[in-house]
Amino acid sequence: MIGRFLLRRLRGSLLVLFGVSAITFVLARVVPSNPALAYLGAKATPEQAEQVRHTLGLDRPLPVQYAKYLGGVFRGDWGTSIGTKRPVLDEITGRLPSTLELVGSAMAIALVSGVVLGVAAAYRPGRLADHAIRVTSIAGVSLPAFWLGLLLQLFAFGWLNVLPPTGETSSDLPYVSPIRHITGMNLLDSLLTANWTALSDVAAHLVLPAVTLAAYPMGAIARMTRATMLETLAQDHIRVARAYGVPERTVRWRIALRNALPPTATVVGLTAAYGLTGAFFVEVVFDRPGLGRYAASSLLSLDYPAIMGITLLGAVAYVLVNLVVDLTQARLDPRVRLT
Amino acid sequence: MTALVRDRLALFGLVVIALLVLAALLAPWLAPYPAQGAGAADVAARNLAPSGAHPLGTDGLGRDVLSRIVYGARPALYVPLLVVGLAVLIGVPLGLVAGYRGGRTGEVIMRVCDMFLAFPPLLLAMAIVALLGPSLANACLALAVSWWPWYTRLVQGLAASLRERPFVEGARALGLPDWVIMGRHILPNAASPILVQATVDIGTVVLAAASLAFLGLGTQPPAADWGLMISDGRVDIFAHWWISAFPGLAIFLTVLACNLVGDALRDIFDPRSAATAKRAARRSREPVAKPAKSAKPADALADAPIDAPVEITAKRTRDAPLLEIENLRVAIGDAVRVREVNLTVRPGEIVGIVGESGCGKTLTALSVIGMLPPGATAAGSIRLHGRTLLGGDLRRVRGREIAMIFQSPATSFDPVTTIGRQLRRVIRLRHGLSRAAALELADDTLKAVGLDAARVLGAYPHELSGGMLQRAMIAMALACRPDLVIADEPTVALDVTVAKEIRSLLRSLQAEYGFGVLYITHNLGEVRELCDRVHVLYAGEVVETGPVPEVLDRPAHPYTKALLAALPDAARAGDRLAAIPGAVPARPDTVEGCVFADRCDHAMEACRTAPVLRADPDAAGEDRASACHLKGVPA
Repeated sequence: MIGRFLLRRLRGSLLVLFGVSAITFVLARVVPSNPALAYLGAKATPEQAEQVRHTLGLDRPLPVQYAKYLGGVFRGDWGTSIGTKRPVLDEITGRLPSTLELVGSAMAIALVSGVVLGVAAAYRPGRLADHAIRVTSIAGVSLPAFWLGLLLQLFAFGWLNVLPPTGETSSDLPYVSPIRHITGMNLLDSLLTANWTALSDVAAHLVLPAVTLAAYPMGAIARMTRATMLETLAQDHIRVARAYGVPERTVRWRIALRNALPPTATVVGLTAAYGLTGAFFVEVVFDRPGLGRYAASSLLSLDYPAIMGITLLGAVAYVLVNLVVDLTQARLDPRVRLT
Repeated sequence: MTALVRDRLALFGLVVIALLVLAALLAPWLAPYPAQGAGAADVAARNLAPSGAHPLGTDGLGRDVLSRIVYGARPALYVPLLVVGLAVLIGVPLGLVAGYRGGRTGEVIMRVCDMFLAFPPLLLAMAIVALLGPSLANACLALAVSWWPWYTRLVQGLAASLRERPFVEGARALGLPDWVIMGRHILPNAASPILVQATVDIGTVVLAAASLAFLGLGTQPPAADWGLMISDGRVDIFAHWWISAFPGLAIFLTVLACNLVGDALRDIFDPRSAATAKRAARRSREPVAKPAKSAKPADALADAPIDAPVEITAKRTRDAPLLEIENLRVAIGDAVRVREVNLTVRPGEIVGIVGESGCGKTLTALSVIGMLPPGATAAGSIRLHGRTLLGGDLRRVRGREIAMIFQSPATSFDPVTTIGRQLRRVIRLRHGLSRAAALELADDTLKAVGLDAARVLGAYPHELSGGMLQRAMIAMALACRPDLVIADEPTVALDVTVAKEIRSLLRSLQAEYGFGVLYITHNLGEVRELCDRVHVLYAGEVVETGPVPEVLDRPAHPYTKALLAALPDAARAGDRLAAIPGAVPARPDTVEGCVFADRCDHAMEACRTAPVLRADPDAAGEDRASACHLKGVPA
């Protein structure tokens, strides 16, 4: 059953990715700006431009170009980045671990704090704590991440001077205690290689960006948890559990929370997918060499192969996250059938 | 209080939005340095900290930050309005067509829509604006292109459900053209969800537009824009924090305001969800019976710890009552719902409480286990084995000495946990057994109620029928080895044959295990089938009580007689079923005289004074009593 589900989903996902790549491709080709000029720089002669147009295949009909691009995408050739003159796919895969680590840590923080706040708010609905938590969670989804990041830098470095403001590691770390890379994720690799100096250095650099990125999902998760907790607590089976002497703590943290998890999982997935975009800003603010900073500079320099690659990656991430959410739903809620 | 706080938050949001609109419209008059707000530099006054002349300081080009923020309100207002406006203009008609017309066109629209929804809107907007070239106009266009599918999906769902509604079908039957139906009947009904969505989206777009500007993809200098200002101040954040901090605050407050107003609108336009939330809020507080001030002084045993085995051997003799309810009075707020109810259950006895909905049957039962709804108070005395229950902490009585079986088996079990785990949880709490031992007891008990234990243990509630679930519920009660089982209309949700099986199961288990049963029902037929004694409850009062055969064969109260006449098996074929005219009084405590007089065929002058429940002189047996001025109801 699960095999058929995955097959169906794969088909649907391919259609979506096809559409996404088509949209960006058409945009990249029909826009007035000239990619050949972007490639050569402003001082190119018309002859050079014509030469590049031909080399890049820009003089051929649009559908042919698209078919060629799509074929390349499947073969692992996502084009050459105009900015760095390196393959786009290499640029992306080299930077992905850092971004994944950031988004992963942020989601972990958001999940734990969001669920705890949501359950706490549902304890005494309408009371002060509930209102405080609700305002906090609405604030969480209203904060511009890049601004929150700056404020946290001001606070933790400018005033308290307890955490480093920017960067992924201290500049002297490669000399003091270099990280041997296995996965490409600094935190995980220093943990795996028992490099404690590096671990604490990397963690200190990760705290502020992760907290910054966690604000939005934290707010969204807290709101959803609160709503579904209240809905669950009004159900008959909760009354039955209480009538059988099940302690209130178990009723809330085990039974009601367990029931509130499936809808919460949806929000977690959605915000994790958005987290990739959020990471763009956080990485710029905290000067972290991840995918986001590459994306930001590509966007500004009209590095269209890079832009298309990043957009495609965003769509792939979104499709994958949705798949994981659906599989999780089916595990969490026995009534959900995978179709 | 809650409503007030809620309104206050929404009010705060409205005030912020009003300030934003004012600032945008009156920028040249409000800004202390209008020229700088529009972009003019004043190099001499660079990076000044907040002061009297510049309340929020100046930026790297010496421009007054406050003036820049005031001017920045303009894009912060018109960009979201433009973007959301465009998104609504594109998305809503497409959604209407896709939802109302459906068909091939609808299919195509929704496929395209799904494609756009397949990645984060901000990412799409960033890609589009980067490819089109950074500018505010392109940013607006890109954002609108990224946002319309959300409206299409929203409206498509609404339109698809509205098209089946009678008023729309009626309009179709009248031959109105589709566009008239969509415009006149569908759109107005979809307007409020669209408005809620748009309010929240305006906030989101403020955030998104600021993000684009921050990256350099939106508003271009020297125009004022909050996102751009944050970006300008970023390099120097530790030296000149005010350049970034204040514009960010403006963004934050604007988005917060939109979210708060959006939340409040949702509550106003979707009263169903608001009401559910409030009901949920009320019900989620753990109910604990609060003894009313008028409660009788607690009896001598009240101080004993609830768990202490108080002279159990002495108390559990055949005649000592298991459950004694004396003068129970339950009020919700100031409305008295149950009045002076007296009732005893002896060990091994099945005692029925019968009456229509709203007669106080369930309130009586819930006050025994101390689970009255919040706001309800109980007074009087309830004793189990002579120990006072009312007002005590009953958590250690529930699921131990008293087990309750509820009305609807389908919702009585946690839907995401197997029956086995739920049984085991209760068993381990009750008996403190190991996992394995608890599983064994669960297995045995399920077999005792006639279920296929192996299958039911691993099953989720939705995989079992109502009858099987109610058997499992009975197994849960039985596994607690209770002295008293309270069954609150346990068969009302089941079909007739299954219901009969459940009742006979209850009867045989009771005979085997010897627990007492308090059986609540609205059906005298069930009482005849199952109970030893019965209390007929009307409007919160016991109007008649006695051994079942006597009460049912020789009812002394007109209400009992009416209930009997309403039984389907009492009526001979061809007879009309006798419904009782009228309804239970909404506030029985305000009725003067007999509470049943309004609906009674035999009402007379004497009924203006309330009759008291007194032993029936004509009937044999000490338990026989009724509350009626008539001596025996004429046949």
